[in-house]
Amino acid sequence: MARISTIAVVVALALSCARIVVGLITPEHFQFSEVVSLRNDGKPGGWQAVCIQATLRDGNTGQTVRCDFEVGMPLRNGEQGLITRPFAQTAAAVAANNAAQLLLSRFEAGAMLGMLCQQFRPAMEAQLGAAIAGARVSTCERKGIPTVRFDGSPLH
Amino acid sequence: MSGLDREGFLRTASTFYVAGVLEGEAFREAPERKRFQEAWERALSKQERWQDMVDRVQSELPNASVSDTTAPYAMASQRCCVYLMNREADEPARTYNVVIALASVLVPYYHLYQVGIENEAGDYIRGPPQPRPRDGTEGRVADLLARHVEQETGYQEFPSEYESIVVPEISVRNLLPGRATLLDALFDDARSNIP
Repeated sequence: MARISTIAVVVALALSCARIVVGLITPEHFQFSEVVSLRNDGKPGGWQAVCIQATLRDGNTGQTVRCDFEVGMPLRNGEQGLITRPFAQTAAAVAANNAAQLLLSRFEAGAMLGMLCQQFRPAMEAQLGAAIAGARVSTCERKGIPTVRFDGSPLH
Repeated sequence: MSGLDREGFLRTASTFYVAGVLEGEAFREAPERKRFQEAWERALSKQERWQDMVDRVQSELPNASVSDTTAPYAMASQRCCVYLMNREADEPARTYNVVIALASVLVPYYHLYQVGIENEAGDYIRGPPQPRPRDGTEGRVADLLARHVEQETGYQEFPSEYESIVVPEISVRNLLPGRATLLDALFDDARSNIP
């Protein structure tokens, strides 16, 4: 199996409870910005989003690919009620870990990194949507929301 | 208002989505995505009017919960969800339906559908999207939504016979080329995934 170092360290996050771990994506990477404000009526709604630009690196060939993904979710839904920032950030990080782990377990030597990126978004959306109803993971689309780079370095 | 035909819908959808697969700046700077982003900017500039319409629907359905659940850029439409649960009930309902209105930001059409929710000890399971309900409470709610969306936007209902037509070559969000239907492209490709 090919080694994908950056994705691999994302996977490692699932095994760690540390707040900031060198080389790991953490919940703090998910700096959500409010796109649609939540109304003060206690009902589902609002929208928050963040763009993550991750660098994937093939440990065997040294090839790198930039993989971006925009994570969006409501500020309140019918299941969890108010989605607090820590909960949103942690759920996003865990979903990224689980999706990466799932894909890595199937990734074969010689497969194109770009394909991994296209498979990652729907895999993460499936994970995150199960945790937070209404959440979406897409290609980064627009300006005006925070873009956070993740290349395996710690975020302080 | 003159309606689009099959070819018109396919042509229009293709103007907002790139053919094939693009990543990063190449994706964001593609003219199709610029048009998509501009369409959303126009819609968001009128978001308060959509929210006002949601409030009017709520005032006519005091026992339901009516929400603006628009997810900008993550789908191709503004969204209004009507949760048919008794808001005053002491216990959460075990099963209930949600009637959903989508008003496209790309074409002057709207779409109505229904999703069933099952609450298994706090674990909510969403069923697949079902066609616009015609009977019972759900049918009356769909009629009410249609009336309000038409009054607010002037849109027509999207013809059901076009829903499953595949738009060749384009990528819609996470759907690879050749997978997206007109309903996916012009409204939403993940219709069960509601807040």
